[in-house]
Amino acid sequence: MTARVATPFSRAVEAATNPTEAPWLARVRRDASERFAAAGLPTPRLEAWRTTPLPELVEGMGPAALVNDPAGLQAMVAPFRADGSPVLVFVDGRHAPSLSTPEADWPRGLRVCPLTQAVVEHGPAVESWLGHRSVAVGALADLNTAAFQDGAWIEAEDQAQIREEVRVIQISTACAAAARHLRSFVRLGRLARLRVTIADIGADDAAGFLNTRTSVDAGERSHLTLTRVHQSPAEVAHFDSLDVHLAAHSEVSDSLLQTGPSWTRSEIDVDLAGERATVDLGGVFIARGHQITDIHTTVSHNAPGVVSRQNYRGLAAEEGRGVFHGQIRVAAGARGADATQSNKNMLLSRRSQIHSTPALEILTDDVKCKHGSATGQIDPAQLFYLRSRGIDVQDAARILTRAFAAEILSRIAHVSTRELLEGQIAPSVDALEVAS
Amino acid sequence: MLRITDLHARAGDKPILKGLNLTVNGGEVHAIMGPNGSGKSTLAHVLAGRPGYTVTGGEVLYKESPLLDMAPEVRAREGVFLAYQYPVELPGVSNLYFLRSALNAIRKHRGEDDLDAMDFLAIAKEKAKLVELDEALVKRNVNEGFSGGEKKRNEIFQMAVLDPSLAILDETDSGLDIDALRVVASGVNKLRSPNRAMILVTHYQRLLDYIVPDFVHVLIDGRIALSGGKELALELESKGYEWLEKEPAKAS
Repeated sequence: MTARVATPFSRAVEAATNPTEAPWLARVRRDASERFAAAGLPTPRLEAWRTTPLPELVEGMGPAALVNDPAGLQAMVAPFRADGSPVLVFVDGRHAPSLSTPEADWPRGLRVCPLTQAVVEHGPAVESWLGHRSVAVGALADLNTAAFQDGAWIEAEDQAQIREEVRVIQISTACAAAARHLRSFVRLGRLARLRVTIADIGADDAAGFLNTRTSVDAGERSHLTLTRVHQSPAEVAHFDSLDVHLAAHSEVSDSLLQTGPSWTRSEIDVDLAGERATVDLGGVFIARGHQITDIHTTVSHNAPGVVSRQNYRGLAAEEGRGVFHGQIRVAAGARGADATQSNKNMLLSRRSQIHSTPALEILTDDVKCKHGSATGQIDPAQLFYLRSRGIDVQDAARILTRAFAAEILSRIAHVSTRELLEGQIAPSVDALEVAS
Repeated sequence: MLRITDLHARAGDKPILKGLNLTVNGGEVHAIMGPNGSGKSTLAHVLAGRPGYTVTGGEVLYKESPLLDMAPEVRAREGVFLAYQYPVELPGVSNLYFLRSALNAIRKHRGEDDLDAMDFLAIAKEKAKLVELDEALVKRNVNEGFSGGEKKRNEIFQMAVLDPSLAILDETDSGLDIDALRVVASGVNKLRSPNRAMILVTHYQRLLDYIVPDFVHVLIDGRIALSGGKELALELESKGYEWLEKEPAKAS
């Protein structure tokens, strides 16, 4: 039984089992592998997966063969380096030193390296982290622990004020169905301040599966600005999970641009663990063709005075399906918690669909909680206003859909990052088909 | 410029225009007045091509071509401009981007090259002065968070940039205080030219103190009931519309 469900990934899990790896890591992997085998791949029979069936996966996906296309890879990385930001690049799950900023050139106060290196160099720290953050949250997250090849280890020291933005670029290259597994950590010490962008991109003819998992730990009074782009190629199904732990008075924001053409699901799990911690989540997701794109958030308010903001926007065209599921949990001890959630969606064709579900679980009376969800179409009054100034229907619709997504882009305060990502997602927003 | 012959139109299922005739020549300013529900705004919307109206009879020739056969955007590119009674807010769309797209669509239609952002900005700055539109508003999102007066000024600003041959101003005076009205009217007056015709749709005579029309028409129940010079507006101001609603159509 268990062997059958794990088949698409059996080679990926085997490949990650390295006899020279530390025994603790081998144990963590084995436990996760067993949990994954027992649970199997998620099916639509699970409530959380009802509207997001996994695409058909090729049997026996293993790691990708090494590619030898330095020019093509350089070209993909170039826009991310253009403003001088340091980059850490992974190609098909493996660290690519020749494309990454050399270790000596990273800003002071910051430790950035591939996870495989961190395991060797800071074994005990990584062990407590990996072990701690590998508690079962879902089968695909377990699969990630069992099979991760590498990932980013990013650590800002106490009080470090990092001016440069750390950019992690994860590329899927042209190759037959391959499984890529990446495990990343972002840790901020007390009072540290850091910006991180994580981009999943790739070559158009790449295929297979990408499983990325990031854990964030924001120390007391630290401040993290996270920006993520999910733009994997059409044939690379992408599952991403992010878990965020916030200590007292820390602030974390995450802006997610899920605009790629592939089957994509993002799970975001936030633990507002320390007093007065604040999380600000936002994102835009786009579904087109027969694509499914999904964002699942769970924000747990576990301390007094914590604040959460969520602002997600979805666009669905042709026969695309978008899913937003936003869960707000307020624990009994989270007095004075303040939670808002907004999800606005736009349907661009008759057969497109968006499933939007807020879910609240509130165990205290002393709480402010507001949520709203609205799904509509392009406003005919706005469309006509543009047309009456000479702009044709398709251009007018494009201007309006771009404006709808721009609200999320405007969250990104850092100008060169916003311009970079605007450029990254513009082709996919502009290519949206609007049925008249 | 514009010849409307026996125009009949419905808004939804309701007949509104019932045989309207109107001829407007280049350089002329015509005021269309009339009580609420007489069809003033319907006329403006039908000329602009707004969906929701059905023309059931008659003909509209614009520069000798049948206007009603053209898509709304084509009408705009051919030089028809509607200044809205209720300008629409476009969150996330900057005024500059919006207007440059519009102007370039019009230029393309005429076989002219696109204007780049810098050239366009120079034009926009110059035209904004015409209606004393704050440069900050020029760069903001279209009408988003604008006051009523700012929205109307923005309409006239757009008109100045797009340089239409036929401008239809739908209740441009509504919701304006006297200072705003003066600014908007002065902007419109500066745009009067022998090559441009204007139709002012208004309920009140007040606007016509500032923009003096060449002709005044009274629209009653979907038809022009009375036409005259600017003095007709004053007569309407003192007598109201009621006496006309009882009389058969005539021209003075």
